[in-house]
Amino acid sequence: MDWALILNVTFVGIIIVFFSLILLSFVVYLYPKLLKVKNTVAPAVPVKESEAVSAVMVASVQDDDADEITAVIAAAIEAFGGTSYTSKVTVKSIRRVDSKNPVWNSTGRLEALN
Amino acid sequence: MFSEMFTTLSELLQKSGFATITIKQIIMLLISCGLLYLAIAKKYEPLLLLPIAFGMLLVNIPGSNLMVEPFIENGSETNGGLLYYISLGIKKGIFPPLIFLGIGAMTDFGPLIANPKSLLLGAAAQIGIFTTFIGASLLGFTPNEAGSIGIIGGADGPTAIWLTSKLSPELLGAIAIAAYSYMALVPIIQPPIMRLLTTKKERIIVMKQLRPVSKIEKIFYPVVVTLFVCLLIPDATPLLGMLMLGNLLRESGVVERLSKAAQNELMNIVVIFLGVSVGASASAENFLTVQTISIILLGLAAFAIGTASGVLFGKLMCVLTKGQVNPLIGSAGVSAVPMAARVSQKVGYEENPKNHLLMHAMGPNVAGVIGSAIAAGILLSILT
Repeated sequence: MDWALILNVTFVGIIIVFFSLILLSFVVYLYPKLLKVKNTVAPAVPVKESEAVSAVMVASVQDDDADEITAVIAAAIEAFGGTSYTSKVTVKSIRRVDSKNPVWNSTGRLEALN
Repeated sequence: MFSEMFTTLSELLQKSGFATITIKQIIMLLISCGLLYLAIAKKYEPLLLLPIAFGMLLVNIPGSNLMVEPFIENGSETNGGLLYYISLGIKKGIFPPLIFLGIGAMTDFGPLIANPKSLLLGAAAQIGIFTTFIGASLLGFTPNEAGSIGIIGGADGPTAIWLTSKLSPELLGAIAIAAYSYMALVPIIQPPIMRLLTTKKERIIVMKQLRPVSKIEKIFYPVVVTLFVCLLIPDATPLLGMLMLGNLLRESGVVERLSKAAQNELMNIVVIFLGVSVGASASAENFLTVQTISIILLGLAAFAIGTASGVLFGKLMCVLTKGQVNPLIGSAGVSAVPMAARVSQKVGYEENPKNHLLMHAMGPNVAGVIGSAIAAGILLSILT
């Protein structure tokens, strides 16, 4: 029995598992903090809409045409709610959620609509 | 005419499996029927145990030649058996990483990102792997065999299969069956150890709610872990790389179709092939040995020590954080996702019905998957 090899595997193994996961926990602890620093600079730009709508929007949509999308959504809410709603409704944020529908379902629905 | 018919019939009978079957094969067929019973009636890890048991049944039918290697006879090549080709996915180390791809696509690393300390519990629970390595060496197993037996303590089927296929393929059947059996028995094996090593005061500790984790953190996580761990231990790349690719498919939000395919279609197909191939590796001559009994006992020891070391490290963290960590979440560090985390939740809930440890235990639980893949990478790099 090669005791040198057995003890080598055991101790080196345990040490490396701990060492790598301790280092990884530091990395996982640190990188969200680095991301947060950048997050505060980049998004969260309030978009003031027309006075009639009086909607304040936080554009968290990452697309290039984020402003246009927020304007369209706000206008749709305005059109749906009518003028009596305008003083009460405030759009605080618009956030994209992941689609739960398979792409074939969405395509089928679009075709049915057209 | 009758005598000719009789001769033909008796020749056919002599060639049939009924005439050529051995006692060992009969025992293996009975074991496979027993495993089928456990999978169907008792629902013990049926997704894997059922194809494993059936693969075992098929390969032990005499004359089926399902695992025969291709050979050249009189200058022409004869094809190998069906399961020989399917099991190349294990021999060549393809199926386990593909399973990891699916697991990655199904796993939410949010609890781990919210509480990075839980990675340490995932490391502590791997001690069972290395202590069992010593135990197996003492019982006369070669270092490669001992490494494959120890990895059962990682409580991670694909990792155990992947490492065994590289270190000691002849033990594949016994190790895979031991690993999956113990994973199914997590709710029975772990709670007594958890209760034995903790006080009531520790078990009722309510942990602080985890912070919410942003989408961008979750997207960065698989990339960061892949770069960091795979640069550190390149041998762990096949498993961890696929795990993190699956997770990136999930979290990126731009390839929903691929994420769903990895979680469902691909995962299910690979599970069928993996299960049948593992079962097919358990032929009578490989499986019915004294070694198999030792492997099953050592696997249990690996599992128990892994659980105990996780809980003990949880106790240490409890002391260091002045009672903010419930040691029960330490046992979830043995992977076996999500069963081990559910056990932590259950044992905690029994002591204090207002205590919900599930999300806290999911951190060490997914850390255990990373930890066992790292341990497998280390064993592979040292022993080969």
